[in-house]
This record gives sequence, C-alpha cells and structure tokens, in this order.
Amino acid sequence: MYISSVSFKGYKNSKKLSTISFVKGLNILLGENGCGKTAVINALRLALREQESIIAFSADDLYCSLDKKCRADNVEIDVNFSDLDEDEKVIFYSWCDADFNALLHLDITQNKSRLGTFRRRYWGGRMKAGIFEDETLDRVECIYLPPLRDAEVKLSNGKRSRLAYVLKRQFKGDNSLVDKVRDFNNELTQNDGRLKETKKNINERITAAIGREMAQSINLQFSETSSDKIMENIRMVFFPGYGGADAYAFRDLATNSLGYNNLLYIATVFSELEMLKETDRFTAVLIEEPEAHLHPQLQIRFIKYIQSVSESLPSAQIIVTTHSPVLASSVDIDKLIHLKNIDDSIRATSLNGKKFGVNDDKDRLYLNRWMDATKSTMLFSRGIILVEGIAEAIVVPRLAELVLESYNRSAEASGKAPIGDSLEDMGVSVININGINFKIFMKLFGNFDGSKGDCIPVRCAGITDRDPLKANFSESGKAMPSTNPMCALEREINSQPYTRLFVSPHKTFEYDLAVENPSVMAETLESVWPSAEGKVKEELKAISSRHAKDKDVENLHKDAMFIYEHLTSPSVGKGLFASVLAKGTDKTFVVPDYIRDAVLWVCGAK
Amino acid sequence: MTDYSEKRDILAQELCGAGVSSCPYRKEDVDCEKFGKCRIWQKTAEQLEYIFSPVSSDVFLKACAGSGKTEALGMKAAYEISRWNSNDSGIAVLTFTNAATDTVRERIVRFYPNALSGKHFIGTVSSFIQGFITQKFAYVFRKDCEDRDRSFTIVDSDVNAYNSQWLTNYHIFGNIFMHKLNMRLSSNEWIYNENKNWGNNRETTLKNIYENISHDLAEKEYQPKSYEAFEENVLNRKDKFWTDGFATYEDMEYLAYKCLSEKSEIAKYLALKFPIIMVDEFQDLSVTELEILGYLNRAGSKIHFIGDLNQAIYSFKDALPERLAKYVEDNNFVRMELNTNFRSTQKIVDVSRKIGEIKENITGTERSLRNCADVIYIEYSKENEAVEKFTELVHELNLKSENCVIAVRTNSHKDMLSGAPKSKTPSHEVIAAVNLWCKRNMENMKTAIMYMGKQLQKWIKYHVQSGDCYCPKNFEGGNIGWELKLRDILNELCARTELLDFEGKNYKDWYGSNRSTIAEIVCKNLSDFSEIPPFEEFKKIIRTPNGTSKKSVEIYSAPKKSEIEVMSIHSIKGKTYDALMHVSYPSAQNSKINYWENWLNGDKEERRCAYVAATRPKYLLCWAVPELDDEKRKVIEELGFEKYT
Repeated sequence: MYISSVSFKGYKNSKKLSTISFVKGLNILLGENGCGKTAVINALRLALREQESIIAFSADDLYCSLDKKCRADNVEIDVNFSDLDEDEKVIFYSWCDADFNALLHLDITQNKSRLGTFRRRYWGGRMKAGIFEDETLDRVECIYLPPLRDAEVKLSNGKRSRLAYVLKRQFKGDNSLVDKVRDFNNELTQNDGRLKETKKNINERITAAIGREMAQSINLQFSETSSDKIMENIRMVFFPGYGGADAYAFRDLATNSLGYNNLLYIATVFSELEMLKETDRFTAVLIEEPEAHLHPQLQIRFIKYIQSVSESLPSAQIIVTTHSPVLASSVDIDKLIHLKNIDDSIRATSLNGKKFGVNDDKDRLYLNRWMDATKSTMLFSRGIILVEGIAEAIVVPRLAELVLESYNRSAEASGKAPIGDSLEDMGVSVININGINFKIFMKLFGNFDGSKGDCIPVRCAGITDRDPLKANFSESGKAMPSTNPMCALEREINSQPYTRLFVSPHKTFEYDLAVENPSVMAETLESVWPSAEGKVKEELKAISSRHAKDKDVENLHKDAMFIYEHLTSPSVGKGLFASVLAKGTDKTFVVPDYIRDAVLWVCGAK
Repeated sequence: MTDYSEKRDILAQELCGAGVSSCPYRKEDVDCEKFGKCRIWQKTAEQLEYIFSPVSSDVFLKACAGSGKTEALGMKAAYEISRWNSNDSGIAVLTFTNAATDTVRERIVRFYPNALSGKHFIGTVSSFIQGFITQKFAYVFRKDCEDRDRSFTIVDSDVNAYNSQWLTNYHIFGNIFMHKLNMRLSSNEWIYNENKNWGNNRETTLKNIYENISHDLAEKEYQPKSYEAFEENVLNRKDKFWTDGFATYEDMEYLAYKCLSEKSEIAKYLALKFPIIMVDEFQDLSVTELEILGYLNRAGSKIHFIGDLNQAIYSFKDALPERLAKYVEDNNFVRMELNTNFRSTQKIVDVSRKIGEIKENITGTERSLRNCADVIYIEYSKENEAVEKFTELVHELNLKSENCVIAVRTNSHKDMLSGAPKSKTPSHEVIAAVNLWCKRNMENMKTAIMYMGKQLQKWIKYHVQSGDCYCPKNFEGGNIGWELKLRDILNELCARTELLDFEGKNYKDWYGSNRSTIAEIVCKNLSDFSEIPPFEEFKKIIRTPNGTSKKSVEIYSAPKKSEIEVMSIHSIKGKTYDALMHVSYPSAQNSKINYWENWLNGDKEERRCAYVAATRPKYLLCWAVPELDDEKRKVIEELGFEKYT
C-alpha cells in the first residue's frame, strides 16, 4: 500500500482543491518559498494523526485570502491509498471504495459552541454514513521529522526530543526501566546521608511553618515514574572522538559544535529509520528540509541514505521537502514533484509522469546525468532563461538590469506598476546549458517535439543563436537560414503557455551584440587584447572611434565580424570578454530586441 | 460433580481467572468485586455446551422462549473474544434491537472493558449491513455521482409524499411514489406499500398496480405497451431515486444484496474481517438479510444462528421461517438446543407448546402462584369487561400492573382497546408537539420532543443518527444534546401564545402566521448545526402540508393509557411479564387475524404470534374470548385453559 495522492481544501493557501500525487517509495517536493510544501506535509500529518499533529491545528491554518475577505470555515483532507495487499484490504476495509483502493478523509470544522476549537471527523471510503473504525488509524505509522533548526534542542531531553521517540520505539512498551529507576531511587534516598539530611530539614521547615494539620511532606528523588517520562529525560552526551567508553569522559551537547550536533541528530534519525525495517506496517516518513545546516556532501549522503531506505522498505513511503538544488540533483528526476501556488491552490507537477517523446529513455537518462546542482535551481525559480554558453550566462543578467530599468521608467511614466530591478529580484534564474541542446530541459515546462505529461507552470525562455552555416557566416544582411535544430521547433514551443524561444536575428550572440553596439564591444575587446600593439588593436580603436553606429550595413557587418572573430580567438576567450563586458555596459548599451523580449516575457511583463 | 461443572471452571478461568470452585462469592450469591454479577456459575449444561461449541463450524442454536439465549450468546461472545488472537479480524454479534445489543455488549464489557473498541462488532443487523456494505459500496448505484460524500439519505416508506414535497419528484404514472416501492426478494417482486401497518398491511405488487391502472393510463398518452415496459419505466424512476442519493430501509438491504452479488470482493474481505458472525433472534431475518449472510457464509464466515423459528412473526417483512429452516438444513449447521424455559411455569409452557404445535419437550422452571390457575380464559360480552376482570385479577394476585400486559394482534385493535384516536401519529408534528409540551407532564413532554424531532427531520431532511428523537448524525452534542435543543425550542415555541391559538383557524392560517416565529426560534437554537438552512430559506420550507390547508386545526392529545398497558404482540416480543391477557375480537367478521380461532387454524404465522404472546408471562396466561358455545369451549379447554369465573 502507498499514498497515491493527497487532496485538501480550505487549508493554508488552498482555497480550491489542491491535489498532489505521489509515487511508491521516495518523493521529493520542491518549489519556491510559499508554494505549499509544508501545507502538503502538514495535511498528511493531520490525516494520518501523526503524534504531534494533535496540537498542530489552529484557526490560522484555515485558508484566508490576502484581503481577509474570504475565509474558509472548514478543512477537507482526502488521502488516497493504492495497491493494498490482501491483508490490508481486510485491515482497512472501512476505508475502501468498491475497487478496494483506500480513501481516508478528515474533516476539520470549527466548533461553534466553543470558539477557537475544532472538531475532527475521520471517515473512510466514498460514503460518510458508513462505518469508520477509528482504531484503523493506528495501523498506519507516521514519522515526522521537522526541519532541523536546532539540533541540540531536538537531542536534549523533553517530550518532543527525537531521542525520546527513538527510545520509545525501541522499548515498545517494555516497562523494565521503571523498576530500575525505582530501585535506584530507593538506594539513593535510603543510603545517602546528605540527601536524607536535606529532606529532613525541609520537612521540618514545612511543619514549623504551617503545622502538622496542613503540612505536606516531601522526598528527594528522581521523579520519573513512568516509562515515557524516563525516556524523555535521557540525555545525549558526546565524546569528541571515536569509540569513547568511559561514561565520565562524555560531555554535554551544549559544548559541541553546531555542525557535529547536526551529525549526531542525523545519526539519531537514521537509527530511527533503521528500526522501520522490523515493521511490516505501512509507514509514512515525512521529512522537511533535511538540508538545513548540512554542507553539500552531507546533503548528498543523507538523500542517498534515504533513497536506500526507501528501496529496502517496501512498506515505507518517504516524502521529503527541500529547497536544496544539491539534494534535488542527487536523486532521479522521477522522484521530483514540483509545487507552485496558482490561483489559490497548489499545482503539483510530478516529473515521474513526463514523457519526453521519441527518445524518452535516452532523454530521461540525459536529464538525470546533466541535472546538476546548478541546473536544478530551475526547479526553485519563478522564471528561467536557458542560455547556450558562458558568455550569455554572464552578460544576460546585466542586460536584464538595463531592460528592467528602462521598462520601469516607462511604466512609471504611464502609471503602471513597476516590477523588480534585476533577475534576482524577480526570482528568475539564468541557466547555462553549455550547448544548444536545451530542448530536453525545456520539455519540463512545455510539451513539444512529441513530449507529453504535466508541465511545470513556470515561464521558461530559451535564448538561442541562429547559427548559420560557416559558409554563409561572412555574408552580410538579414536573417540567415539557420542550422540550429531548436529553431525548427520555435513555433511549437511558442504555442505552449510556459515556453518561448527567442532566436538571435542575425548570427550569434556576440555578433548580434556587436551589430548593435560596435564601439562598446570594440573598446571592451581592446582592453582585454593580449598584445599591447598591433593591427588588431589599431583596428579595434578605429572601430570604437567611429560614430556610435555606422549606418552603413556593409561596414557594420564587417566590424561586427571582426570583433566576433577576434573575441573567439584562443588568446581572449568568450568568458573573459563577457565578464569585462558585463561590467562595462551602461545605459547607452543597446540590448538586442530578442533578449529584451525574453527578459520581459520571463518577468511576466509581456 | 458433573462434567459441566468442569466446563464452568474453564469458562471462569478464561473470563475472570478465578475458577468457579475457588470463587468466594459463589455460595453467598453476592456480587464479585471485580466483575459484579458474573453469572458464570448459573450456566446450565446446555448453555455451556453452546459456549464451548467450536467456532469453526456453522451452528444453529435452537433456543426456546425464556431459555436465556441472549445471555448465553453474550457469554459465548465474551469467551471467544477472550481467546481471540487476530489483530485484523473480529467477531460480529448481530441483534435486532438496541436493547439486545446492550445486553450482549454488557456481558462482554464486564470481562473485557476494551474488547469492543476495535475489531469486533456488536450491533443490529441493519447497522451492520448499512455500515459495512450499503453505506460503503452502494455509491456505485449512484450513477455519475462525483460528490466527495456519496452516502444515501434514508427515507421511510411510511412518509406521506405530500408532507415532504421533494418526494413527489420521485413518482411516476400519477402517484406511484418511489419511496413506497420495495423489492421483496422471496418472490422477486416489486411491492408497493401504501401503508405498512402490522397485520393488515395494504400492499400490492407492481403487477397488480399495472393491471389496475392500465385503464386509466390508456386514456393518457404514455400508456406502456406491456407490463415489462411499465416495469422498466418505474424502475428507471427508482434508479433516479437512488442516483439522487435516496433509499428506503428496504432499499438499503436490497442494495447491499446487489453489491454483494455484483462485486465478489466485498463478501470476500468482509468475511475475512468477520470470520464469525453470530445472529440473535435469527428468525427475524428477512430473505434479503439471509441472502446477504449467505454471501458471507459462502465467502468463509462461520455463522451462528440463535433463535426460535416458532417465534417468527415477521413474514410481512419477508422473514420466512421455512426459508431459514431450509438454509440451516442445506448448509449442515450443527444443531444445539436450549430447552429449559426459565421464564414461565410448566403449565404455561405446556399450553404454549400446544398453541405453537411444538414437539420438543420444554421444561418450565418458574413456580406457580398458589391461589390461581396458571392458564385461564375469560369470556366476555364486551371486550372492556375482560379488561376490567383481568385488572381485578391482577390486583387480587398482588401483581404489579406495570409488570402485566394486555396483548393484541394488530395496532388497530390496540387503538380500539386503549381508546386512542384513529391516527396514531399526527401529520402536523409541530402542532402536536407544542400541544403536548404545554401540558407539562412527563409522558406528554417526552412525546412532544419526539414529534418535534420528527418534524425537524421532515423539514431539514438530515441523516438520522439513532434514538427516538431523530437526532441528526454528526450532531455535536449527541442524543442528549439534541434532546436539550428540542427542549429549548419547545419552551420558546410555547412561550409564544399565538402558536397555541387555534380558535377558528385552519391549517393554512396557522402555518401562515407562525412560519417566521418557528423558523426564527429553530434557527436561533440550532445555529451550531451545520445542516440548518438560513432563516429566509427555512421559512420557505415550513409549508402547510398538502391537502390540509382548508381544514381547521385539530388539537392533538396523546392517547390515554389503561392501567394495564395494551401492546401489540410484535412490540412485546422478547419481553417478560408476570401476567398477560391475549384479547380476541368478538368475531372473525372484521378481521380474521384478531379472532382466536384463527390463531389456531389460520395461517401458521398466526399460531406463532399466539405462541409469542403465550410465552411472555411468568405466572398467568389468559385468553379473553367472546362468549363461547360448548364445542368451542372444548377446543380451548383441550389446550389446557381453565375457565375463569
């Protein structure tokens, strides 16, 4: 059995019904802040009656619109389970529909006779009037690991200490600790003279103060009398090194480094998960942001371990939320679920269901291979600009600033609302694909070239070059016939709501920039040209000293060609040139239309 | 010591850990500190034999009247639960009344306070069928319904469609209403219940209706060409009734039957969930219920039938003892018997055996009263004479009149004898409720609360949870909270004098002038209840029931009660009285089944009814009959009745 989906309504940011589908085993929920990752986890905790979820609901969790005009007064959560085995169909009979898939519902309603409190009603299947056996909820385990904010707190003693959870799981209702503590208490209170003396003194003071009639008496001992209490009070201490054995050498966690405490916490969590291997009961493990405070290598280690746990435990389903591109890039894309809040509900896109077209298997492999930490930032962005190389990756963000600045200036003038000043402000990432083959990445956002399935509802623009044949390269004039295979897909890509292709009008990125800005480009190239003198330098000087823009197309072509050929020479390199160019551009720099269009579209201004 | 005392020891050890012989409370007849009246050591050999019967086979425990079968069943269930070691499956104990459910539950909880929180089910047959089958899976018959909650709302076949306007949406060919049409599985016929009064139910088959109305239909355009076409038309309408989420109690069972027959997985997993199903009073199972249990039985559930086919008196509900006997026979149920009657004297037992034509020997253990014969008959010239004589006799014998009863066959006879108005239930519940409430005596106020509840259900049409007061399902305060709300509403309604002013008013006037007041008071008091419509909408719901608007308002008064209560046989089933008088009509003219000779010669069911009545009293069984000639006297005296003078 596994959770095939959860839906909810009236909860957190979901006014309308939000539905999130899951796969067996591991699921990674990702998306920008506020997209509803935590809402999904908490909805599951509430429905599965996870221990601490009892206190985890308040009026603030009801949906409320930004203007506070619209409030939900009840919450509906539905959890679907699929693939029940024969035993589960009996155990969860009262959750089943006619096809023996299980459905668990939780309705939370305001208790009108006692404001501020809520009623929870669980029911199963498709009909509320049928019998629901409350005890069946105990047949599903739910382990919740909150985001790690302070490892020390989570490891020290107390009711909500992770350590106490692990111990309780390990002891499974065995009460032998109680006897041991009692023996120890007796031993202590009967044999220690100073304890006895102190106790006697206090008791005498009580009697002296209020008399025998009203008096109480006290004893001095460790007060834990129940198994749970004892376990909640066991503390973790550490020894700085491998294999410490002497109990006196161990130190309090407060003296340990934050990083090491995190490691100890993770180890504790792992030992808890390890215990799952002994249970055949369906277990939902919900982990929020495991990456907090973990350096990248540890993040990878963590997620790989989780993945191996999910593979070795058929009865466990693990749902992880993350902000970490490192983490997202370390697992198979099939496990990823992208969340975004649209129109008062959560839109979930499961990459598992994506079909990439004719070469589905190959493309999937390609994506898994190339979806590194840098590229997976696209899964956390509000908009994406895919570029072909290092030069664009460096220059485009600077050009975007120029575009946005001028947009905002005219927006202000015409009374429209301004938008952000930079791509960072807008949450847009520029991602360098290192080649023209960004088709596969783009298919995550739109369906073209035979791809099918859900698309991530985030705007994704591709900036690409026309790349005419070398033979035609030196020709001047208008658009050249392109050799770039992406261009053939342009129309199809542009018919999708979340994908657009923006193609350079002439030849290639730098060439097109040079056509618009010959002087700036020539100056920049001159400043990085390795030799102090020579023909090239002279020619560049000549170009930059010509008037801002030569109206003569032939000359312009010749100059642009000259700049392009020389900046690609091994002695300069596109990267270096681009870095210097990015710094040197100012308001006068003319941004080519196709780049301006790309920026404005991704930022939602077009 | 006999060997069953050993069994009692085993039972005690299993249940309380003491062992009967070592139990200190045994001899003194005092309650045990831990378990109170455990009743273990009172178990007889035949009861113990059942308690130790294997659960791996189907069992038919034939239990005569007064044999303590529910007690034995409760103990059996407790014993099995104590030995139960599956976490996933459980025992289902099904009864026909909440009272019987409580008895069984009490038995089990005494020994296992937590036993019933989980996998086991103790409840009525209908709650089992609805809760685990119909209200789980029958949504498949609600075509195209995409609602999150696809439960059925249950509609009583008794409801007058004109009082609940929305029901008139579900009719066809004039006034054939879908909530009055039910499947009778024994004959596989659709039966139309115009009025399902016990005993003299006016019901017709759909075929009959067709034959009767085809004339009328001929004049209209939509005359169906054949019965089949007619039936198809009607059933399409019934489908629509279901699709929209309505079903009668009978439908609920029929739909459960259809679920099981169409989806074999349901029976498979339900049988795995409840490998043992025990049914108390199994003679009351309708053919549909028997078929449903049959599915589970074939899927692997072992079934224990406990009851007495001689007491089967629900043939009008399609509970047919022959079918049950055949089922038990065909499926080789292990037979066991409880033949000791702990309720009645031997004399009463003997006479009732003759009435019921029962071959088996039954022992009566109650001792006779010293100054009176156990079984008598009274001849009367008027029925009231018999009631007076019987009441006097009860006084003479120093019996408490509340422990005695006057039994009759039909409700109409009951109304006649107790002087109740013709319409037992008012059609204007709200008027009856305020009327009774301001009388300010317990009995009337109780009835008033019930009518108020019924009225609200009629108006708002919520799902009913349980109880007499129509408490809604999911009502926050539960039954008690609901009754308190009804109390508040009635108090406020009665504080408005205009509601009690009926002088010269017809129903239209009354509803017209009081509609807002009622809506306002109800809305205010039930503001917490989520299904209550807003005031404006609610006001529109409060309408004068069709066909009554021109009539002048009748003041409703509760039926008067005679000192000894008059009850129908169906409502005293399973109960015990000190003395009982079974009253016959003066003649067979008006109603066959109310006349004593037909109790002996008529339909077998009539014999069984007479048997049920005869087995209720401990000390005194009395028949009240019109004046007899010698021949008839001989018949009655041959049964063992002595003439009372």
